[in-house]
Amino acid sequence: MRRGDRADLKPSMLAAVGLHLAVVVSGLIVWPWGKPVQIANVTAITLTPSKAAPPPPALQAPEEQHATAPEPVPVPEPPKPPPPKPQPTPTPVKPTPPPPKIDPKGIPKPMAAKPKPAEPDFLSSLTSSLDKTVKPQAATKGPPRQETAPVARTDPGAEQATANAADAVGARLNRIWNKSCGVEGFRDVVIHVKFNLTPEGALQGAPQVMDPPQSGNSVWQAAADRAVRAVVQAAPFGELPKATYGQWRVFNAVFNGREACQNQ
Amino acid sequence: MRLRSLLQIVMAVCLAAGLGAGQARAEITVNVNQGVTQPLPISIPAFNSANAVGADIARVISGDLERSGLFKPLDPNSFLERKLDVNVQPRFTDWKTIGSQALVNGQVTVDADGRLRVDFRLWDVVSETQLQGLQFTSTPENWRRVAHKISDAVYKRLTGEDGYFDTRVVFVAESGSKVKRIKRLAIMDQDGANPSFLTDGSYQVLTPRFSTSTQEITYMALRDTGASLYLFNIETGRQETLGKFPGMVFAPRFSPDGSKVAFSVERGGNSDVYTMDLRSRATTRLTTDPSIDTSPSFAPDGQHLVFNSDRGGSPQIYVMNADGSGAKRISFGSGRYTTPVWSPRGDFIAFTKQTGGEFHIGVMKPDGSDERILTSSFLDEGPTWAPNGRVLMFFREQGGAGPRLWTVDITGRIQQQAPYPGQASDPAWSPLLP
Repeated sequence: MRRGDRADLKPSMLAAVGLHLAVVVSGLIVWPWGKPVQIANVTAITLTPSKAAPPPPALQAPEEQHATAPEPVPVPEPPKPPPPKPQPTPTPVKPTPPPPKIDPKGIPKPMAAKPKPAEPDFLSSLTSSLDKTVKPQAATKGPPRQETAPVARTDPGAEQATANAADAVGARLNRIWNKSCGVEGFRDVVIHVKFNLTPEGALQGAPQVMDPPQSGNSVWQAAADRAVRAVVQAAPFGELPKATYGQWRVFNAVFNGREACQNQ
Repeated sequence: MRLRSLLQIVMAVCLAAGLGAGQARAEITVNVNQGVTQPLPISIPAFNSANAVGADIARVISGDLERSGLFKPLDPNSFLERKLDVNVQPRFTDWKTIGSQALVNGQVTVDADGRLRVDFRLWDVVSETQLQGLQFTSTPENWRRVAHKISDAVYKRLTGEDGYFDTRVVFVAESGSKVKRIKRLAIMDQDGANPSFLTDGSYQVLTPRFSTSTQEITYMALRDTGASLYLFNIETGRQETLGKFPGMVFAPRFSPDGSKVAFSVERGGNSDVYTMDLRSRATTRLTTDPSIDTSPSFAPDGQHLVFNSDRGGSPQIYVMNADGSGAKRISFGSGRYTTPVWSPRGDFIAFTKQTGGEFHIGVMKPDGSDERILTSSFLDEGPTWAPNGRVLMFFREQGGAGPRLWTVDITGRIQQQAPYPGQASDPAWSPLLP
């Protein structure tokens, strides 16, 4: 290759290298709008076709016929009924397909529908949040009033405020919690859900199920989901007085399957 | 600047620790011990597909979940988000707005080899999380079974217990006049689809019973020449008799592992319970009481049987060991107790009870405690358990309309006619299909 040719190729080479680099780098970056949603479980089940011969027409009922007949019976009367036999003859119907097979291929992970802003640097975000939280208390407003402080008091008035809040939240959760007493094992499940509220009574962060998930216990998992759903649906608790926020900031809701299903 | 940041972090940690201590003191324990029981509002839009099968699958799932009584599928006309993509997170706000708490969406595609591929996801709309994502492949004609399997998966994830939708029911299809009744063995999917006759009606079929572990049926055939018991393999169509007995044989039922059949033999007015080992064909007599002992049903552990006997003066329910020893009466209420059936999960025994001029389907614990009447009518009889032990099917006859199949759940709240509109009796539920 001549020197002049090389000089001619230089801009295009640079562009090509640049584009390749861009592709490689873009592959390494976790784009915020491409954040995959976690798939809890992916299994593929294969139902293989039946190899057996189809059932005799006289014994196979078309579904449509069954659905539209005024006095439906499983099959239409056979045009030529088979001669009576002393013994019942084997009359195979749709055989069951062989057991499903697990296919390692999973479905692709769904993507978030809308782009989310990129997460800021941890240190700078912590610093900026500190700027918001520390300043008002320490510098501008001085020490917080006892009622609105996020620390509980211990006097009788405070105890009453706490009791009132417990009653209000408990009543709401009891009206919303959709229990499933017919499920075997539900009566033995007690789920503890911890959640924080803002002074306005809205949820502060996601409710946390306190007991560690018991691996493979589907009844427990479904019950935990129902308990969390009840808390999310019940919020906000606007009836809680802001003035006594310090007395009702953090809740531990105990969803008791045994007591709830006692008379069912 | 850096030093200031670090100082602020240290202060934040101290503050958080202080607040944490305060929070710990302020944590309020709320006992939630009442709750409500309501069907869960769920949305199941038509699965994306190039043809109608996507909508058909969604309709079958919707029907399955609605019949369970635990779910309330919402009207598709109310859906706000229309163009759902199974690979994109749904707009949860749209689903919350219509009151939905769960969402099932999916897509149906055909692979290059012609096989149907169905992807679906289950979303918790309230918590805005995905609960499940599964893929099924099958031949296109199996789309209904795929739909039932999706129903089972959704049911299990949202309730915690196994589903019962990918199952079938055998029953006695009845037709003809009362004096010339035709009783044929028939089978259908649990949702009433794919009904077929298994016998031609030239002889009467009674008390078909599914094996709890295989796709096999045992039933009683009644001809002019007498009664006999049969085994019928649904997958192969193979049928065989259990042999000749000295007397009339009836009420057969499989042991949980399918290795034995328990039944009754009547001779000279005395009925007793026997078992037959299906491999050796050896029979064992379990009861010797000079009364009517019948309707044996194994416990799921195979170690006990429940049966019906009038040895105490009227038909009552008894439990005995699998070798016939230790028979003990467990029903003590007023009325006549018949057709006891042990639940596949072992916690209850279902029965028919006749009292106060009515028939009832009820359940009681295996020790006889906690008796609960679930249904009442002119004639309710012959309960059979769904494989998850939550739902019972039985037949009801009222108003001279002939027998019909009905279902009731174990709480007695959810009672409805089964989706088979013809005259039918003696249902028997299959185990989950493999």
